[in-house]
Amino acid sequence: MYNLWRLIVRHQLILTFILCQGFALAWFFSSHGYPRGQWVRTSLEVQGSWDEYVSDMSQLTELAHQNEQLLLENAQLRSELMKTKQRGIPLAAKSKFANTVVPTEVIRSKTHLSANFLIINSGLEDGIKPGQGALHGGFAVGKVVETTANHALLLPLIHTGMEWSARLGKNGPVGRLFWNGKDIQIAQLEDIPRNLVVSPGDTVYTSGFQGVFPPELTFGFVASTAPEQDGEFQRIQIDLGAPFQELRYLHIVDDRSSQEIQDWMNPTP
Amino acid sequence: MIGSITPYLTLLVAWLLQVFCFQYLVMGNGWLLPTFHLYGLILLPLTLSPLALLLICGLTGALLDLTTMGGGVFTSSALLMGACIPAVNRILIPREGYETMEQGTLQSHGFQWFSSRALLLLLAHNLWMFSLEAGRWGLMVEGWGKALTSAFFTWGLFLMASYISQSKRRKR
Repeated sequence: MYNLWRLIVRHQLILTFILCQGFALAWFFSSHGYPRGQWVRTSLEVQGSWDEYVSDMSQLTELAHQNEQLLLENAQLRSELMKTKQRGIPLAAKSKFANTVVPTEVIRSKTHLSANFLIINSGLEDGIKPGQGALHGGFAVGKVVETTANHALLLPLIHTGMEWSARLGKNGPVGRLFWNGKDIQIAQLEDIPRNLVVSPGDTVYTSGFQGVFPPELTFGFVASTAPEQDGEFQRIQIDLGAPFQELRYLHIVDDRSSQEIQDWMNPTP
Repeated sequence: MIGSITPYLTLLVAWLLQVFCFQYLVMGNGWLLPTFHLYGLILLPLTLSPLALLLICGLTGALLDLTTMGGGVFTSSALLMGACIPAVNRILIPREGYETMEQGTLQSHGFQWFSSRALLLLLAHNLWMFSLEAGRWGLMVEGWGKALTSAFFTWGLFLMASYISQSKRRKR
């Protein structure tokens, strides 16, 4: 026993290092891909208000550019409204599958990592829940994974640990969309049959299968790079629609149809 | 007494600056990522016991992870740096040795000694941190590139901080 104690004392430095490093690595590997839990909520609470302050300061310098973007978005929305009116669809008619949209603001974004994240200044009190999807100008951005009362953590499309269900064209095949960690505006679409002819500029939509986004929202467009052949399938480069480096305002979508489907799949007695 | 708490005050200020200021100063899509809290760690007393150094480094990294959502990456890298500090100090030891509670500042040891020590430690820290963050072999080489450029960027910040503190002391 005494010899064991002497051994521990003699090698206390290396033992402490191994113990602490083990703890740190366990923390890292358990949270790196999908940060959830109490420590994330604590971080959101601690940093949230300071992030909001920093965001307000930086916003002052970007107002002109943002106004321009808002004008463009307004114009798009107006044209959508006109089309809807022309088709004679009553705007007030809401189906039970209609989605609710919560506007929010990004107060912090990390786009230089392989496991990027966004923090928004809306939380449980605004109706934000884990699992909801985020949009920017109609383009898919990411998914809410953790919320506190006033803030929420989102994992964007540009996160190497995430995969998204995507459809090529409105009636095309469904594949897996993921990001390889390199260019933040380029994602990869896999599992698309090799015989399918794909043209640059073709739209890639959300399939709606994951319950994060409603179907037919845009992920992005097929890039001009030639697809890579992989057995029976091809891998296609996708230009993502959302500008990840300049995200400011988002819309969080509560996909009610996915909730309905979940309820059907897990009926309560 | 004031002399003995100066390094810990420096560490606190460096940590606060990293949390409230430098973490927002990431440039070039992650190629210039400052880790200014390490300035406080490299200015800890040169004669501090290796165990105390390791624990202080680990604690500094853990608190940074908790406040910036690092998820353990800063803890792990700071621990590695804490383990490297005594070895680097031994390699760079001057002929007359170190004095008790002496800090490894630019003013006391000169540009060459300070820069060599800071760059060696920053490289150890950043190579480990960016390798962990990359997470896959395909992104490793780019990660090492980022580690290198970020180490030089942070070293530049260390030099600026050292010159600013030196000029303030001269004014006094």
